[in-house]
Amino acid sequence: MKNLKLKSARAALDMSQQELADKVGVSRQTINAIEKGDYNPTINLCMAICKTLGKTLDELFWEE
Amino acid sequence: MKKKITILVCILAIILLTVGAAIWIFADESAAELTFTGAVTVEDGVPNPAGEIKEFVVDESGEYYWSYKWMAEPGMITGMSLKDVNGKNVFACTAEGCYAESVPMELEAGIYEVEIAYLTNDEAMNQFMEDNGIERAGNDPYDYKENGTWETEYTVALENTSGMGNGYKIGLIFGVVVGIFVVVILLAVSKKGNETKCQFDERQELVRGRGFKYGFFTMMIGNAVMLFLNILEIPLFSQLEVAMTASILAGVGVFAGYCIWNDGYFALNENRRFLMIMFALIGVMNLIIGIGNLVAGEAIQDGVLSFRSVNFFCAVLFIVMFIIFLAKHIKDRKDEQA
Repeated sequence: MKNLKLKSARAALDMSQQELADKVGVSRQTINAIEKGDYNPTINLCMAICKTLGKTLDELFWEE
Repeated sequence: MKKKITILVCILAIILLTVGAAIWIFADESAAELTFTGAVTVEDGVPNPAGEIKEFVVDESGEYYWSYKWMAEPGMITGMSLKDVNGKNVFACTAEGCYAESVPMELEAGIYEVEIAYLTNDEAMNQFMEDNGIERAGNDPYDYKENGTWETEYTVALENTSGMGNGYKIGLIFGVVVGIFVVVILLAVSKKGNETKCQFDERQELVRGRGFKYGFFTMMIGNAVMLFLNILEIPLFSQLEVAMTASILAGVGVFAGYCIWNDGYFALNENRRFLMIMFALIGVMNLIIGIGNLVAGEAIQDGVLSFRSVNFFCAVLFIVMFIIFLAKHIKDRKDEQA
């Protein structure tokens, strides 16, 4: 399932996939795979992404 | 490890290896060597002189092997034969260019005769082969030189069977040193930043794990097939070592292909474009060497692929990797635009 919340949070900060990837220390393809729902990140990576985007785990990764 | 330290360690290793190699090469010299220049003028297919005879002195009796080496103009075919103290033919071969080694043999001390024959037509060629008990490889007609003057340097060496030939040793050392040098350069140039260690993220580690699994099973299945064919005594398409190498390369290919397609092959700190260009170059170089071996008749021996054909397999591996990289690059571009 696509993670549109992550994509929109990133877009809101006017940040590219590459920029987010560089900040959290992963490849651009990994960010792309998370946004497309092809890869489920570990809790460590989720937290790193949340801290970088200034969001909570619930806001980005909780399914409603 | 930091880049500078890695480079320093590798340079030190290369120096030590070179010094060690020099000691190794010069410690066990050829027992004897004869080098001479053969000059021939061919007019209307008739060589002048028709050949030459040189003396080769073997000082001590013992077990040796002979090696021949020369490289003439295309079409300038030489037959070289060696006769022992009793006039018996010991070792003969014929080619435009040649690097040949005889089987190890017991030799008596004495004067041996090295006979050179300049072969400019099928009749002379067939006569030489009949006289020396060698067979013609393939049925393609030779393109003999009809007219001209040529000079070629010939080397006949008597090698101790206790060690490898110097040419082989130098080639081996050169290959190892160049290999280390290329790896060091790639390590230093292909990485961004100051680290030489590959850095992968968690998804890449996962992809690589799966890639290793698929590659390992590919290699295992390849080996199992060969084992099965061997048990059933079904002849392989190649020598066993070639088939084993092909199996390893297939495993590497599956791993690399899977990882490239799933973005797990290149580390975060690697310059992927540079590496892929290098891989394409390595593929093309192997292809050229492979074609050279095929043209020289070394890739296929006794109707099966010899170890010289491995360059072809390497070329296929690197070129396929490059194609997968290109396809992935195009797919990513399309995904980004969508």
